[in-house]
Amino acid sequence: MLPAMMRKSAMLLLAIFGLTSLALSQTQTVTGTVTDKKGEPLPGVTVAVKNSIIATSTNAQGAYTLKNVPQEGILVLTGAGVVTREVNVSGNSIVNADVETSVGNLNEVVVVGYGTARRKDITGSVAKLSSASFNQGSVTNGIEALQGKVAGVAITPAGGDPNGKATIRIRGIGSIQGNSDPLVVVDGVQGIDLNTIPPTEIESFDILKDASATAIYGSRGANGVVLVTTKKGRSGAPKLEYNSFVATEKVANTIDLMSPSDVRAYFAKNNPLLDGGASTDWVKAISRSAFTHNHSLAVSGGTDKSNYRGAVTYFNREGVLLNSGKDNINARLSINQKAINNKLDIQLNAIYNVSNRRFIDYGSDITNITVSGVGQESLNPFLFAYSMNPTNPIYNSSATNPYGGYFQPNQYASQNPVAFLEQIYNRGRENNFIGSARLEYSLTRSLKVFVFGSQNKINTVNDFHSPTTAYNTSTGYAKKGNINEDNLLGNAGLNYRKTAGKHIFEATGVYEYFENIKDEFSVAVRDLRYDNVRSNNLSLGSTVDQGFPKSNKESYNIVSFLGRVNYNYEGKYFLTASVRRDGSSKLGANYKWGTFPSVSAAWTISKEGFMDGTKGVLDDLKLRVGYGITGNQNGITPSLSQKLTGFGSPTLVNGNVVTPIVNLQNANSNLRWERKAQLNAGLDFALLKNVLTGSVDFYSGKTTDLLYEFGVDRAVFDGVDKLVANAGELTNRGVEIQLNSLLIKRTSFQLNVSGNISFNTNKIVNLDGEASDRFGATVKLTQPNRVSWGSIYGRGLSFSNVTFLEPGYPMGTMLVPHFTGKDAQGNPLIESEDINKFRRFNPLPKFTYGFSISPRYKNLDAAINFRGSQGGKIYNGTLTNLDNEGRLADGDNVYAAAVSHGFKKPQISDYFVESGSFLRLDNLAVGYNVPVRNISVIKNVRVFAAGNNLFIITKYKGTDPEVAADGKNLGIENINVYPKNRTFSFGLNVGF
Amino acid sequence: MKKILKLSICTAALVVAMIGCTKLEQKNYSAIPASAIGGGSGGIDAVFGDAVGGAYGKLRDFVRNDQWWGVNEACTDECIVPTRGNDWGDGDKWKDLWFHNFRPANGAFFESIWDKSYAGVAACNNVMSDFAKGTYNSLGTSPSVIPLAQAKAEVRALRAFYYFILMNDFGNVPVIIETTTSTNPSNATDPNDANNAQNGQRKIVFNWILDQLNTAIPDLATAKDNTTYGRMNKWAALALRAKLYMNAQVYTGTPRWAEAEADCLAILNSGKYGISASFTEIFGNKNEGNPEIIFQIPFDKIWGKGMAMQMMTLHYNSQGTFRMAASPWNGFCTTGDFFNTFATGDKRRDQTFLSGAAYYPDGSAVKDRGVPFVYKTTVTAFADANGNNRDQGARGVKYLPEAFTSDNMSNDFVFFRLGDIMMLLTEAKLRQGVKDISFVNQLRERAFGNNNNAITSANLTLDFILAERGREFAWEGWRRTDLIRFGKFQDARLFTTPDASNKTNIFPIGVNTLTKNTGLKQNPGF
Repeated sequence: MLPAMMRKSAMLLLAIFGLTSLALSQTQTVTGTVTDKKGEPLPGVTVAVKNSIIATSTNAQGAYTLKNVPQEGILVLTGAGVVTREVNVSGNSIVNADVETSVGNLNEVVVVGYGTARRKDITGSVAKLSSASFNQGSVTNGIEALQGKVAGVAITPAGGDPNGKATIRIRGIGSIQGNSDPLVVVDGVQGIDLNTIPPTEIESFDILKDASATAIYGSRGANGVVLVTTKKGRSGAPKLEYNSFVATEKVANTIDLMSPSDVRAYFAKNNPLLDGGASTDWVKAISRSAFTHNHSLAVSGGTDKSNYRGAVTYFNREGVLLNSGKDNINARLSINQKAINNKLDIQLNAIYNVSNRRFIDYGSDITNITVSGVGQESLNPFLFAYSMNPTNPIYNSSATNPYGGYFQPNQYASQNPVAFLEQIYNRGRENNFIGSARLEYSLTRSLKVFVFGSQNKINTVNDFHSPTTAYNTSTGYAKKGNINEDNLLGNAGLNYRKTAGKHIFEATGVYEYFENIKDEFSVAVRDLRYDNVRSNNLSLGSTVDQGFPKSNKESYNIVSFLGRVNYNYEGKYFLTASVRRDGSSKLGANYKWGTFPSVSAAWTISKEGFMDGTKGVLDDLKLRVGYGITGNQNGITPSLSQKLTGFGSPTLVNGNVVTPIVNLQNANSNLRWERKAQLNAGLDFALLKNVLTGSVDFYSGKTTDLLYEFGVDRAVFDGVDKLVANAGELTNRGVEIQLNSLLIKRTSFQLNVSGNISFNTNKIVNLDGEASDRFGATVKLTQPNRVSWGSIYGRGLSFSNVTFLEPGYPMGTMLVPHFTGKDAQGNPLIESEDINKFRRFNPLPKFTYGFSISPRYKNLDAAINFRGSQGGKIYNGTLTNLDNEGRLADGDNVYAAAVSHGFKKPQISDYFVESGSFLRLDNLAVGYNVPVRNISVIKNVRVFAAGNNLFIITKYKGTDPEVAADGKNLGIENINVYPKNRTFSFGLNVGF
Repeated sequence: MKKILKLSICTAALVVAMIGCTKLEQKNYSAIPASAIGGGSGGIDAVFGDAVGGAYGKLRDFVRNDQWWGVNEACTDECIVPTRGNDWGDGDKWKDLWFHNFRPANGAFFESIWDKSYAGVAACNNVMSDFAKGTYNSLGTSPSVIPLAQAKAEVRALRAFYYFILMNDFGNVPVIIETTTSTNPSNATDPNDANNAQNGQRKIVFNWILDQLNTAIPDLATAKDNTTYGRMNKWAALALRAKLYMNAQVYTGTPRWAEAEADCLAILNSGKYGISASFTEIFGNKNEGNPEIIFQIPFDKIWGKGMAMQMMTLHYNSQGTFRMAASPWNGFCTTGDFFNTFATGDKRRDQTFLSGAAYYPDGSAVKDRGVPFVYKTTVTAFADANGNNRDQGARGVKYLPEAFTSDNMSNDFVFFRLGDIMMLLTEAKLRQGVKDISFVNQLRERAFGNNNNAITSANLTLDFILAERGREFAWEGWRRTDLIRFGKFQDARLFTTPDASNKTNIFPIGVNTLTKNTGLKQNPGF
């Protein structure tokens, strides 16, 4: 029997021993693999135990082993080009983690045409933006998430119109009339409308900018290619995500008009009879604070062999103009399955989107209703709201008023904009289904075969109604129409990759088939006997409108063969060559097939021996050069190359109306795609231990065979006076610089700054082409001098041209007479009417730029995004019309300073040419990750607040200096422009 | 081995699939291919309208303010388009017309006439080449089958009509027919023939048009009824030829009054036409069957749009007076001098021109800028920056406004009518030394409603005829031609001084037209 003392010490010893062993047994060895978001292993990542000196690095396979790791310890993952991440050990002995690689990291995986590659292996100019870098807040169209972020990519937002379209232009304007939109590919499906993909479901954008990258898309790649990757499932326990935001938006800026009281005072002095007795701010009357709300619920999960992601999104946006807006419901499912020993990879995607749109009518639907004094395209409520007499009331409740309770001024070119918005019913409903499947099978270790098929079905129903009380349609008008469109894409190919020592060789060959079928139907009636049923019962219209009912069906197909080879020696020297042969049924008989080759090379200079000394300062340096030829066939409609006859103007024969068959279009068997050849040279670099990364690109591109509509002599060309043919030459040259830096990278505080700047010079070289005359002989067509392009409309001006296409100058070069003052009667005076004495201005900017600052402090993060443009000029057509005291005499409202300027009539002159330079705070977002460690079900909660278009610094006096990116309104603000909005949003993201 | 087998099978399958799907056929679901309307061997039995209708439809592009009618009227003493405040400034196009400052660089109007006329020519040429190819076996369905010879003659006469418009306005124009192969057909004006350069090549065009008419006239239909409504029948072709002969001195330097007289008599003696009892019905909304009309362009508010006479001329607020579908444009009007050439009691004045106070159907006054509106007959300024001339000038309502329409009235446009033939006959006889007052007095009887304003032989002078033509045919599109024939086109009018030279007897060719056809030379003096 041990004495008590001994027993106590023994117990103490035991306890200590126990504790020690307990303590000892609370550490373990942890192993695992660190991968990037794509699952590719990351070597050289530091894995450390938090608050200790226990650390190691991942090896070439991304694997690590750490000893003596506390069971409840936290592993911190850091490294060059890696976004720091902490992972709980939680008693596991195998801890795998995936980390985000910061932008520009050469290990980044980017999507290229028909495949993926590591950034370090790429020879072309590709920009990648992942969802973490997207603009936050009320982003309604995925592409707006990129605004100002990528050098060379100019995104002009849709503006305030919920049914408007954003335009994307990559490296300048590449086409005159042929549609400069880039090709948008979503998970392999080409030509999709980005509105069908909710922004919260987009994982990343990969933008192919230069010809050597886009040549693989051949005849559709000339304007650049935007590859969109949606979020997919991931292995692990099912995760539930809830994302939502609400936003409010208002018109950001409109022209300053005279106030009702100022106008009243003016009338009192000059013509009291014009005073309508009321005080109405018409612009306020037609606009409102609009609300948007968006909810989405996504579930994802899976195993190593299969994963899935499904999401349902509901989006509802009111437009700032009365009676306008859009809402949609979107459901998507993405499934990825591996089978047969992981040799077979199956990917399935399905999206179903239903949109309901409430349009503002821009006159395109009332094609058969004449509105006196303004052209069809200018029926826009802002046009009326600006000039309407502010002393007129909105409503007129007199019993004899035929206009449904609204006041109508019965005055030339003027009508009540509130009535215009509220009385006209213009709706559309669009059902959009996109389904795709991809199978990839590894025949051997080096050879894979893949098959891809997708179908995109769009069905649109449009309803239009203008009642008998509307000003424009005293007998009413109703129309209903239906459009069905089907896009089929299929491709199949082989991919071969072989490594032999230091040589890596890869080859891909693909066959692709694309088909589009579209058919439409519509009926319109007038003289309605009963209004309230709108377009639901067209038999109530006594007269079918002329030209109706009508229907149309058209289709086209494209067949392609493409191949690419990559060669890589020691990861230092790269060579890529590709060729694509496209055939398109839309083109002329002589040119149905075309070949689009490209070649590019790269040299990773920083891997050379002589660069060893620069490590730490210059970590990565890679030189890229590429040349490629691509095509653009966007502007070609299916029957453009053929001789078409159709119905001409009706005539009377023996008392009966007959509609004769006449020649509508001449054949053009030489119609072909626009062809662009581009040379690109670039440098990718990483400095100061990857703190600063970026790239510089120089490019020079020449587009020939532009689609252009010539005016021709009718008698020579079989009665038609217009002919679309390929003509001319256009060049775009420029420089792009992109910089990203993770300035401060501590665990609790990070600061990321990035910026880009792009210079582009656009020039039309000539507009010479050829076509066939009515006997089939080739005729040369030229436009030697200048051709009228964009014009200003307004009362007393009736479409005056201010921009032109002129060989030797950029597209849309502006020529206006010089303003010299005004005479005693208030007539503006100009130097000369001779166009050769006009002053010349360039609507295209000298450079555009953007920069973002993203700080993060513990759980708080912010993003500030600026975007700007310098040097372009804008012709202010709105002020040309409104800076005109003369209109007050007619009872129209005018610009606030019009009376002090004293012009009595409108005059096109350089008085109204203004600088379009601006710097805009596009987006300011603040987010907070709410700590939720104690709640078991909820994994993460994030709240954010954001503002879009918060302020703009500009000298421009018009509505907004971002006018059209190209087309006829390039560099022009016309009086019917839709203003931009300012938006504030609040959002909540919850992960379960 | 298994791998290679698998490999080969897959590759083979792919290759087979690829070769199979390389068809690139552009399908045409809705458009009518050219082969549908004749062409090729073996004629077809076509509906007349399909074959020839397209050529006639082009006629509807001639009567708007910015087309043939507006341009030929706004440079004469009977029609002025003042700049009213901010309206109708239009880059000084109307001012240029009124002051006879015809400028090719500001030539959108001239380009429009040229373009629309050649559109008609091209349509006719298309049909003529179909005939030449033997495309048609027959035209129309029994019992109203139209003989091929007649159809061909119709198209020939219609084409001659389009060329008449061109030659009348531009002098020397390229003659393009269905067999012309040149892609830049020239109008080569002789630059050495300075004064009569207009007539140098113009004579050739004149003779060609005459030749076409001579060929066509024997085969044309002689009826005046539904079967020839809006179409070229023998009498319409004769009227056209009469116009050619009447103006032959202007076009060629050699007068041909006797031949003009013969053609006019032929029409009068045909028994097909008569003076319309009502002057206004000739130009009314339903003037299809009027006995006086020899050739008209049919318009209809639904299927035949393009008649916008009411819009061009009436004041904005007259929309309520006439219950129009849209507010008119307040442009075209006549001068005080012209308005006053009508004698008291001449009903034609108020049947042609609207003046005085304006009222709504319920009797209340129309207001403009708050003040009761009155159409004033005197035009005090060509341009008024404050728009104080908004109410000036009597407006042309010969083509009676139509309720519930805007620029799509149903009034047919009258090109040739018997009254015109009668006046031409009177003039042709006078110029040959014979005075015949019977026709003038018939027209004046209708105009005054009584016989108290008949003229005597002593009254019948060339000046009287010009003035009476002004009163009878105001705003019908012939004033410019008449003024040139009487040598008065260069005279001073309201606000203007006489033209420096008679180069203004023809219009210049617009710059855009010259760009499209490098074979063209500008008219002399421009």
